[in-house]
Amino acid sequence: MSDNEMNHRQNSAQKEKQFKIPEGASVLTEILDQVSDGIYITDPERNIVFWNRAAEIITGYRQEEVLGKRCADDVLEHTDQAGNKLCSTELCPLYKAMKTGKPTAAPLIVKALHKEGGRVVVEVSITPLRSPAGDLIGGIEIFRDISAKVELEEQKARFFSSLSHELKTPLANMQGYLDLLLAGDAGDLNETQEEFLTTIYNEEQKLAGYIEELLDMGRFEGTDYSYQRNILDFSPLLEGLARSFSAEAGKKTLSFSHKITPGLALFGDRERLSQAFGNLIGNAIKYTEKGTVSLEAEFNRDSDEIIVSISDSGIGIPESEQKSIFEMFYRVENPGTRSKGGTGVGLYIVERVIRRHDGRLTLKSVPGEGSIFTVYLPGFIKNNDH
Amino acid sequence: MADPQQILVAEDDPGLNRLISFKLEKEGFKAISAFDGKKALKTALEENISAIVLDIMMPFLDGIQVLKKVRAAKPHLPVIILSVKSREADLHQALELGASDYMTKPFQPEKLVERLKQVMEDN
Repeated sequence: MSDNEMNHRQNSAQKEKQFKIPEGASVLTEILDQVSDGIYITDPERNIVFWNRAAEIITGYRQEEVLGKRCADDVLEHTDQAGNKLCSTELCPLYKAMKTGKPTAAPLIVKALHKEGGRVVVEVSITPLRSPAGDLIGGIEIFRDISAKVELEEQKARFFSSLSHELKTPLANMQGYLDLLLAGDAGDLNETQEEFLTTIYNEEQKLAGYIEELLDMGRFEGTDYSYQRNILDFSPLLEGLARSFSAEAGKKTLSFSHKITPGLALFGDRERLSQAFGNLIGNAIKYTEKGTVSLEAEFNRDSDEIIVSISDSGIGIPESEQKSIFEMFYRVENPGTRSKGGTGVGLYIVERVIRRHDGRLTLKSVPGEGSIFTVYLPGFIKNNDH
Repeated sequence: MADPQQILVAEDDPGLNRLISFKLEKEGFKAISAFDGKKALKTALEENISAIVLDIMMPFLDGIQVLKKVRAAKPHLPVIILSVKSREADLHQALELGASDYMTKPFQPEKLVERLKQVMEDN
């Protein structure tokens, strides 16, 4: 602590002595009732023992209606965005915090039941409550109504969807008519005409590629509020990607193998995860001319993490560049070997998506030998034996 | 010689509609153009057509609605979706509703014809 801070603390301590809160005043309750976040406190059995005014406003339930009830008993039932119930599962943030004794790592976005029907989107944080002796005596849930922010993200998504339409329709016209001309469908071309049209065609292709990537970025950038995180069966998602990329690897006579533990599941955004892992596998294939590309996924019970690794025997990434490759628009400068095109947003998207799922990503690579990307994602495994 | 097979081109963009129709006629089909969803549905139900090239974002009635109604009346008619929508979810939705194939724009006219012939043959 700096000297300044020390002084400040001492001053505050003196002031506290001067201003005494009258005994019997319910200062804490007053404060809790004035904040705009919903707050409730439960006992260890998850029965509600405190419910503030903002909680009444956000959920429509008055304090006297909920005190003594279990949080999951129709009051404040949390679901994922698709409507799957989280109560009494590993995914219920309160259940998890009480089980592990740890506060939630990052606010979780879920939907909560409103008394009048319908659901509100809330951002939830949980802290277990301990006695001075350290015993677990309950939990505090703080939840914020973020419906308005979510609505804004939805507007943004609609904007990108219409932008996409407006940009791609003219491109489709250009590409299509050029195709017809070059195929001779509109009559024979002389050599110079063919050369010029080929140039236009190649440039149009580049433009189309850039626009595709930039639209992807717009779609995937978004804030947390644009994520649709639901209970997601992850193994089938990876299996699906493996199927489609096997065909692609086959075109290059690469061997593509995959080993995916069944039953992997997590709380995630299907489309974005699919895009992120698609980018990783796609890159592995793109930058590998011979040898193997493999995809492996397993569950680590100690850390409750899904571990996915994508390895290739491709051109690799020099150590000096390994940190930068996740930056937007970064492309590895590797004279003579990298002429693969692209704007350099692929790995940037991957990194963002993984981070938004509270996961992390590591890279091991040796130029000329290959690369291994390993992704760690908090998740769980669905057991069929009980 | 038998009459050429009729293909419905449901596409609101005039340039693309003409492009697809032109290519189909080159390949010996007869193209019938519709520039909105309502007209497309009417043609699909009333005319003797062999397949549809169907855009999704169209005025009055979108391609998904057209697909649903066509499927109810003509379960086996080959329908190729041709759309700028390239999300996995869009593709799944269309295929679940019974689309025979799905292509995204921009597209190669040659490939479109190839895949159209393929789904007509599979049928």
